[in-house]
Amino acid sequence: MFRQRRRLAELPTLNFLYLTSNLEVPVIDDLVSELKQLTLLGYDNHLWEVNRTQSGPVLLQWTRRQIASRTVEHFGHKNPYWLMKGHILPTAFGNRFI
Amino acid sequence: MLTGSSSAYSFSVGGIKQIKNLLSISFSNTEQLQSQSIFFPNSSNFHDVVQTNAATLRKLVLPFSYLLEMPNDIFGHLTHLEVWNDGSSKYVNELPRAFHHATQLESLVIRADGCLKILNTIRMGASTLIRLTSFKLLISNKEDSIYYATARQIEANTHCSALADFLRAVPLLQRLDLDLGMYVSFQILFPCIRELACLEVLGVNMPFNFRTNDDFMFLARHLPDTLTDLRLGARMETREILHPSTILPLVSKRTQLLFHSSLIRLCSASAEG
Repeated sequence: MFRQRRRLAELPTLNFLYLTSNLEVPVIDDLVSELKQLTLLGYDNHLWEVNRTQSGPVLLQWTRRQIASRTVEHFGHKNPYWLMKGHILPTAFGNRFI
Repeated sequence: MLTGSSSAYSFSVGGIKQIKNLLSISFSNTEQLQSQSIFFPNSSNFHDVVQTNAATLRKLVLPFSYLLEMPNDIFGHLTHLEVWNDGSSKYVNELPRAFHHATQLESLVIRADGCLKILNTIRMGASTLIRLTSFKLLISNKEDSIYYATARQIEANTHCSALADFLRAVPLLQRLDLDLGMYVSFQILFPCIRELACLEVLGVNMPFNFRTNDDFMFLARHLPDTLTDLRLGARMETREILHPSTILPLVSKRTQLLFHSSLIRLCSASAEG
């Protein structure tokens, strides 16, 4: 357990996390809380910007159009865009490629 | 001038043949049609356009079957090549010829759904891809069941050795994205991936037998220290394994993580069905 906690403290630069699974929401809440530098979070067909406030992290949800198009500008960096390109991401409009 | 049938996303390309000095030509299939792509109704039209722009062309996207009649000198100028399976998987054997001449290639994307033999094919000719820094290989077949995949996994173990050989031939890789579905043999691949000294971006979907904490720790031990971006797909049978205490050791000191697991839905659907 100590080792795991020490690992959590060694994540100062993690800023993007994307999950597609049958995760329970509290797990995502835990991740947002633990990963202090997380600025973008994806779960299934949702993506949120993570805004840190004095009262805690606030998740701002992407629009369906943003999720469907998913441009480099949306991600804020070319690397996560490149990684997701060509993969099916479920959206409200059905599966589609980018 | 483009004319044609919108229902089939096809166009006559008579006017296109007159365009010169193109840097990029993209022939995508309709399922992945991109906004600036053009659907060429037959290969001769496509080859005419490519040949006309041979001197300036740097990026080319085309189906496997169109590789057959593509002149060798076309590949020598390309910095980006993307090929996709149009149902003619026998033409994947043309790839080594393309590789042999593609000495300037920096980025390679291969979409070959369900075509495992391509793992063996790409090994041939890889030694000339000395400038390759970006490689994406998508061969996952979303239609396969878990039970069918069990047999395919045996086949994958053989082919993944060939993929490992390919990766050793391109040591300058900075970005690598592998979606082999359930067929990847991570025990073979990850020791090889660990040796990619320049690798910064990695995406990989793990097989159906990747499920335990020990598997996660094996993965963590073999991720290159240079990684800044990670997309990881895995099928989990229990939610407990996705607890942060399991995931976070993988991303220690890494700047970004994309955790992608379409296979989880496949497993759930099987259990419900």
